[in-house]
Amino acid sequence: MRTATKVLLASAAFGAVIAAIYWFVAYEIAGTIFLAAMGASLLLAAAFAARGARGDVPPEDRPEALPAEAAGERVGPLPDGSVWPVFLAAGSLLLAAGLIYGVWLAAIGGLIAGAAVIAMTREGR
Amino acid sequence: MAVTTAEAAPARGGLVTWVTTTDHKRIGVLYMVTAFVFFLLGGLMALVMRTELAEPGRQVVSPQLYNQLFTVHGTIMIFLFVAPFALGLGNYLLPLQVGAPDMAFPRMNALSYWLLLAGGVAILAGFGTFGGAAATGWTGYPPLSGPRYSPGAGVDLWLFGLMLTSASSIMTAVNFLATAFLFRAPGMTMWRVPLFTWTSIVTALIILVSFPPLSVAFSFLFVDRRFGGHFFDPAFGGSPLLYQHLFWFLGHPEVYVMILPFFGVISEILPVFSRKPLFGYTGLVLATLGIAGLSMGVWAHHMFTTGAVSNPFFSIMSFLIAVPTGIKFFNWIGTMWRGQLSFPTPMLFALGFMLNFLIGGVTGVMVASPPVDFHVHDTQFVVAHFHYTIMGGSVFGVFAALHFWFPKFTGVLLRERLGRFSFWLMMVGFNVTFWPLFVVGLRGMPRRIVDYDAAAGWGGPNLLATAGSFLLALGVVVVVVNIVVSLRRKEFVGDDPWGANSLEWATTSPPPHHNFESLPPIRSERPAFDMRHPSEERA
Repeated sequence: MRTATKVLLASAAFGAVIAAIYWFVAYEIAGTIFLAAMGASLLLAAAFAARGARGDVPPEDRPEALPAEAAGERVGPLPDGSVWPVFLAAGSLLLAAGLIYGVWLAAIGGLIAGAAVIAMTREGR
Repeated sequence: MAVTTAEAAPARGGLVTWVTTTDHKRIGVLYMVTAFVFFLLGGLMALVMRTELAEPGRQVVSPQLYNQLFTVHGTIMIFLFVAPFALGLGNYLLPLQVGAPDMAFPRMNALSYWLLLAGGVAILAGFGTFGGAAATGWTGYPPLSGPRYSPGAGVDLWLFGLMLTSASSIMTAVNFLATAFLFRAPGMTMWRVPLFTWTSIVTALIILVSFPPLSVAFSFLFVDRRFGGHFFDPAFGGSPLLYQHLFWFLGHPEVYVMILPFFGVISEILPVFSRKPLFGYTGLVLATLGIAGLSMGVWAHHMFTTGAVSNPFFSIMSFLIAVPTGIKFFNWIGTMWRGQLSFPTPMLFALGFMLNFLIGGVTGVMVASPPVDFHVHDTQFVVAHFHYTIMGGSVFGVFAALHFWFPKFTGVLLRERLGRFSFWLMMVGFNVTFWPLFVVGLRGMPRRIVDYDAAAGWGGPNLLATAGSFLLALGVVVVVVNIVVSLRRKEFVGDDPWGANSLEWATTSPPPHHNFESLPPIRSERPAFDMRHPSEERA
């Protein structure tokens, strides 16, 4: 089991144990749910990490691995900038302001944010 | 998935490339510069407040504006300065420290930054609304933040601003975890990852489990305010205490979001200027995890005086945090013990961090005890304790990091004499500002008051605190002057002026777009040191 999985699993176990202790000490439902939910969400992350860790040990987890061992494993070009994150953030801000100042502003913000999401998705392909 | 190759986009300058950048280093710089500008704004607000409190009577601001100032000051310093600066530093350093060419999700990384900026704009826009900015304190407790007592749009903008910054933090956390877990270079096992990266990983875990409840609390509050909801209205079966639970389930871990990355910074700086390996690497990693775990179970120590929480449980959990924190201090002292110590500016700030945080930590243990907390709750004592932790701790960590990694960011060193001068101004100014607040707090002076009775005897310490705050501000001005002077004179100092340890120092300063032309073999948690001193030479 790799270190990331162990860390996430230990954190999830801590969440479960502390939730149980808290319930029997405090009998308070909000905090118990927080702690149990924390444990459950970390357990989910641990499960994903464990799933990804199946198979051969990759070079980054082998102490004796050399840089050359990852040669040829290309990740393609680094993204050469994108304007759409700016529009998505601006659209989100207008959308939020629209909930305070009027639906028309929310509609404009929603349109900008929606267009930015679509453009970012297309860019990512 | 180990990654060593990626095609580099051509380096370009200009405003447009900064606005559209997806390069983690540029995004990191944007984060840090933006956070620093927010720091200057928040600091200006603090100076106005300290001027107001210098002596009894009204001096410069109305009570309404004073309430807005302490609310927005707290919000800025916590959500728009310290935490974003730490995340910006992580943005810049984490891929370099693990040997990755960029973050796992570069476009989402850019989105994180712009959402942070949008959130900051929303919060500050409150000052331009009828009724002004939020005036509820940074905690925003209902019913004060509800529609009856805060009808203006300031609170709504504050809520949305913080929700946008929360979304930004969550995205950054996902990026940190994916990059650190999946994009490490060959040989960079998790037990060789530098301490700063470990603390960033743990910080990301805290963010992932603690920020969503905050967004839930703010969404409920917004529904109460704008759509006639009753989540926190006891007259209709709602519960203001539920808000406090939701808020503090984020609020206390947020303190560790602000402090843990700077524990990492200190753990990077001390070995370099002690000329020794870090003492107890594994212990420091486990202590970081221990602090994070315990921090999730202490939220209601902020609610001792409600009488509606289990005081013994939260008290014991809060006391326990002192144990892993003590391990860290022990290991830091062990690192310096019998080392060849030198004291350039980053080391001075690191030592200042340790001294100030120690006082913040010890007073934290005091207020973790319900009998003491009942006495000092909502007094200036708590203000002093919190500022010793975050201002004396984290913010000194910010300046330690700034002076240490400035040559990595720019290729030039900050001026040493100006650096030392700014450190002493800030160290003396900080302690003269906040130590008197312990005194007046124990004498019963409440926090969040615009004026006080001259007969209370709080005037002298307050005047001293105000004088100290201007000294502290002068120290910050000297840092800004230092940055400007150093960047204008541009005296390049090479790739690794400190003789440092971690992998980011094994590439050029500043690094190329794709971070590394070639990676050295990674055989320990000090690959840059190993590269300079091959094993035969050390033998």
